[in-house]
Amino acid sequence: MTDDGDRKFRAELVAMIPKLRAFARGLCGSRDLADDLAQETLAKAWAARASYTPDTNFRAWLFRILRNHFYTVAGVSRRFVPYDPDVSTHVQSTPATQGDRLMLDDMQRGLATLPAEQREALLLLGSGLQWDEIAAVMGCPLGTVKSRITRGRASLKRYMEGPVDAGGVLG
Amino acid sequence: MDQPRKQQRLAERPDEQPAITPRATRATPRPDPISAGLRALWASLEDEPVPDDFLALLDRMDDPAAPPGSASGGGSGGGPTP
Repeated sequence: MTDDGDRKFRAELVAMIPKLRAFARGLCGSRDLADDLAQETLAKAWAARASYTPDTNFRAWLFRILRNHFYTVAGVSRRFVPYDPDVSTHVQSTPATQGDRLMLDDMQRGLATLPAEQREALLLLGSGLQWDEIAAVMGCPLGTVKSRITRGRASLKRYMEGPVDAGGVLG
Repeated sequence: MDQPRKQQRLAERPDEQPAITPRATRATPRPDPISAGLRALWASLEDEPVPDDFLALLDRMDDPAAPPGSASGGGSGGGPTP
């Protein structure tokens, strides 16, 4: 890659840092671990910059590197734990109403209850990726992504709505 | 039924005007709160300030003396791996 190419690549990489951190946080919860994961992704992407085809989907390419690294390292060393259930207490956010904040906290707790592949699919959906892009990132067929999103969304909806009172009328 | 005959019949019997379904009702489904919440959650994560050490890492990557990948200490190959 030329110097100009490197400079352009670096600029695009810098612009993607917030998204990489967000995805990493969604995957492993803890801020510190997520930042380690995001930084290692940056370094790996930089090392592999020659293999990136300009003007293709840079975000999906980076997300794929990040999630592959996450599952590889998590599987081998268990350094990145699957999820920190206290994640909602660590999240900063833009100024929001208390209701918004509570809703986001609830949503994070709900996500933490989902199987990893459903949580990941929903996170990527929230990032704005299309379903086919999510399939490319996760390395699975489109139908599998649709199924994970549908099931994850249904579980999350049930969680957000709270437990159903099976007993009906008291007394 | 051809068009002129249909118009004539409607003119004679206005009570048979076809029911009008509001287009807006059909075209704009209710916003999905789960999707909206996921987007809001992502935005809240993305809006967190980037720590300085990220920029320091990029500065190290910019060092022309450092071979590609030296900033990571993190193994070979950054491309997608199955």
